Order: sequence, then C-alpha cells, then structure tokens
Amino acid sequence: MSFAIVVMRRVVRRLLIVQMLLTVMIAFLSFIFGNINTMLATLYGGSITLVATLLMAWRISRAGEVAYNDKQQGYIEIYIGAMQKFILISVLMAIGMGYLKLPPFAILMGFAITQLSFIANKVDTQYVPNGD
Amino acid sequence: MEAAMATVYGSTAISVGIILGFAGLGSALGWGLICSKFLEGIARQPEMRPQLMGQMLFTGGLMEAFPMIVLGMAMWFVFANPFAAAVIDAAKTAS
Repeated sequence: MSFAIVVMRRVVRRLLIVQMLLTVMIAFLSFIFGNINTMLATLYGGSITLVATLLMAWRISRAGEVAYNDKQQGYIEIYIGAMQKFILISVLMAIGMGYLKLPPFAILMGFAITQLSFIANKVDTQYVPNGD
Repeated sequence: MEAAMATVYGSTAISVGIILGFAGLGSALGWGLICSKFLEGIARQPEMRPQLMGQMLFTGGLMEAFPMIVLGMAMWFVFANPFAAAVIDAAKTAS
C-alpha cells in the first residue's frame, strides 16, 4: 500500500468520525426540538453526506494513483466521481423526500450541517512504520 | 384552482431546471479548477501527493457543499412542493 493511500485513509477516517458526530448531534437536537420523524430525517440527511464522502474519497484515491502515469486519466476519474456524487445525492434526496416522505427541511438541515465537517481540515502526513 | 396549481407546478419545474443548471455549472467550474491544480501539483512535486490528495478531498468537499445543498433544495421543490401546499391551504381557507 502506498503512503498516499495511508494518508488518505487517515483523512477519510477523521472526516467520517466528525461527520458521524455531527449527524448524531443534530439528530439529538432535532429529537428534542422536534419529533421522531424529524430525527430520522436529519439522520438520513447526515447519512447522505457520509456516503458521498466515501464515494469522493474512493474516486480521489483512484485519480491520484492513475495520475502518476496518465494525467488525462486522472482528470477523467475525478469528473466521473463528481458526476456520480451529483447523481447519488439527487437519487438519495428524491428517495428521502418522495418515497420515504421524510420532512424535506430536516433532511436538508442534516445534510448541510454535516457538510461543516470539511472545515475540520487536517492532513496528517506523519510516517508511522507498519501502521496506518 | 386547477389553473393555479398548473401555474405553480410549471413555474416550479422551470425554476428547478435553472437551479440544477447553475448548481451543475458551479460544481463543474469548481472541480475543474481544483483538479487541474491537484494534477499540476502532482506533476511538479510527486512527493507531495499524499498531502495534496488529502487537501483535495477537503477542498472538493467544501466547494461542493453549496451546489449539493442547492441540489437538495431543488429536490425539495420537485418531490414535496411547498408552493403547491401553500396554494392548497389558501384555497381551503377561501372555500
């Protein structure tokens, strides 16, 4: 496994932990100030961010790997990833609002607040032998 | 009542089209800039790749947050139209 992948795993792990904490926090608050339906909607919104982050991390890792040999292929990987994310979020939002009939504003709140996790920006490039 | 609802749905559909168009445009421009700098950085300093990949994930996520929230709002207008609900409420109050 290359060192870039090790660093990427650290970054994604940290990001996912922050996103999960934010999701749980907003769900708890929405349960206190709203009802169980609002809580489920915020949990659903937060989960959309988690899935989208995993997808983006996977695509960026692939782009970084292929960009060594072929810069053009790196561009293609990133653009495919961006399109996939756009479609994935549209479909998940549509399922939540249209099929599951969850409160749309609560889904958006859960989704928007978990996006704040990207501000928790820290890339740890410290080398640890035989460890990630 | 039906004419009013048709107007609301029609206007919402046009608005959603415009919203999604601009969200997609913003997202594409942002990704274009970010990934061109990322790949330039790797080509210039390959040893910086781990740092750049991590930073790209954060920058891409932050940049895409706004188009994605706008996308969510567009989905709200399509699948749970709040304007149509307001028209129905107004009609019920009037009758």
